[in-house]
Amino acid sequence: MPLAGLIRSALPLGLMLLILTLQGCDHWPADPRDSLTTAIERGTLKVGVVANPPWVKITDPEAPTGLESQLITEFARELGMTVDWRTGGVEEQIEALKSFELDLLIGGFTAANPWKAEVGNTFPYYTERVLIGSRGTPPSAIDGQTIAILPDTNLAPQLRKHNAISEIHETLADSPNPVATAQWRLSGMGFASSSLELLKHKHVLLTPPGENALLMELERFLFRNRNQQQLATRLWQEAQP
Amino acid sequence: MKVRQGYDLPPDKERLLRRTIRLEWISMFFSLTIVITVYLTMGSSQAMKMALFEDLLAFVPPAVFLLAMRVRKRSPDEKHPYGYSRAILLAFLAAAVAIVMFGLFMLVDSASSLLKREHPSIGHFQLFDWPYEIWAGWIMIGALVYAMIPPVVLGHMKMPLAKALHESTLYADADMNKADWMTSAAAIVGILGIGLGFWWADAVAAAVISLDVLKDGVTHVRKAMFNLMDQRPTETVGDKPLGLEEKIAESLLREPDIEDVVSRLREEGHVIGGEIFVVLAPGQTNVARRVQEIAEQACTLDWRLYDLIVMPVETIER
Repeated sequence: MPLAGLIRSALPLGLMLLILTLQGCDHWPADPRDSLTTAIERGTLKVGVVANPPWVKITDPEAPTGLESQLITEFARELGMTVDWRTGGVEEQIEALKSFELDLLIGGFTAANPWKAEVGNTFPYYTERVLIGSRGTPPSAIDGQTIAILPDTNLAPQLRKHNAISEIHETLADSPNPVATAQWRLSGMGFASSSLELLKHKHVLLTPPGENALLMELERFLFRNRNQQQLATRLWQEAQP
Repeated sequence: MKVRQGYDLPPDKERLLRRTIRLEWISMFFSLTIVITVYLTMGSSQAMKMALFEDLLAFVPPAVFLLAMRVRKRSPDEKHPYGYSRAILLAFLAAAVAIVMFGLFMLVDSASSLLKREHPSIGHFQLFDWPYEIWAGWIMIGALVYAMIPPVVLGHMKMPLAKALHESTLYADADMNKADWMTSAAAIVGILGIGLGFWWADAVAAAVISLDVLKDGVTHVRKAMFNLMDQRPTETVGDKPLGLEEKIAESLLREPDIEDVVSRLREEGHVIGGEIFVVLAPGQTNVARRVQEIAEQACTLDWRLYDLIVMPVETIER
């Protein structure tokens, strides 16, 4: 059979070629634009930040805080780099990332972001679950109940779907009613959480499109730092004023 | 003489046909497993997306074939005096046109991602958002290697059956299966290219795959169109004429009372019908009976010949 013969002769040749090329490069997969190698040689990682507490807080544009800013600082330190922070609007930052002006972009992005096909997304390193909780035993159903929520959330329509009434409070800690908020906040406040899940946000970090060596390196870092319990505690700490 | 008679395959062909039908079901099953595997691993690779589309298209010929097998069994009836044997050709033409359109869409899609200089991002493998510590590209290559094997084996098994049963749909299917490994290979090269840092490798591989789909589609459209246009009977593989006209003439001219013969044949799906014009020696007493005998004799010359009409004429001009 000519096909089998073809495969027999092509296979060792292909393997040899592959090994030869693999020896010639530092990273597998490689960066088409060499973002990782260039950043390490330069000694700085160019990181775009978009304010989105507690993921990214920009009180001082020279040194942003928040969970993701901290993670990136640790990542850069592990590779012997400092971080060159760049602040700006979301679209402007996405454009900069797409044209390889930035090495990374953080800002509490989730896997549902509208640019997911245009830039690189890490795997979801933290899954934020928005749950119903309360002091004491949490309710198993919220039909017709009043639920306390924080201002600036999109929870009111979600609660309406469950036939619950939402009430906006500046703080939730002293609420007599059940509350709806992220699980990390519930456990931070010492509330018990129910299994009633309103929303689920899978958090990702963004990399330049196709810079796979950088993406893989960052993901390897995230593999080591994705203990959900620890991240929840850190988020609670970052959320404190 | 019965005007509307059904056609039954000879017993040995019937056995082959049953085997073919079983093979086509197996084919559909493997296509399904391949589609699921490729879908779960594809990530953001353009070449993987095109490979997935191609694997989806691989459902079309077996599905058309199996459907047509049900339809064509029906005997001719009052509304359809010529029977249903051509249903398969019509279904095949429709499927082939769909494949061409899809090939065009795939080509435009890959070309545009090449022109827009889209850099595919491939990180660690994730299955339903759960990450694993392995580059997703390796998993994709694994899936593609799996996608290579069953179609090639099945294609080689279907090819002789297509020839023996004179099924052009089956032949097209087998041919597509046999060539399928090349598209998987192209996708593998594309992914290895990404690994080496050539962002364009993926889109180029995707374009190659879509060109192959387009080529398949065009071949099938041509074949189906010519058959529907009553092209003379040809071999399922290639366009060589079957030579049944000569065979009929040779056999009939051996009869002492036949002075001249010419026939006009066409394919009606897997069977072949048409007219035989004969010049009988003068002095025939029972022309009607003789003509029937000639028709029966001609039909025995090949298993595909069916429902031949014999027309006595005065002279045949050439």
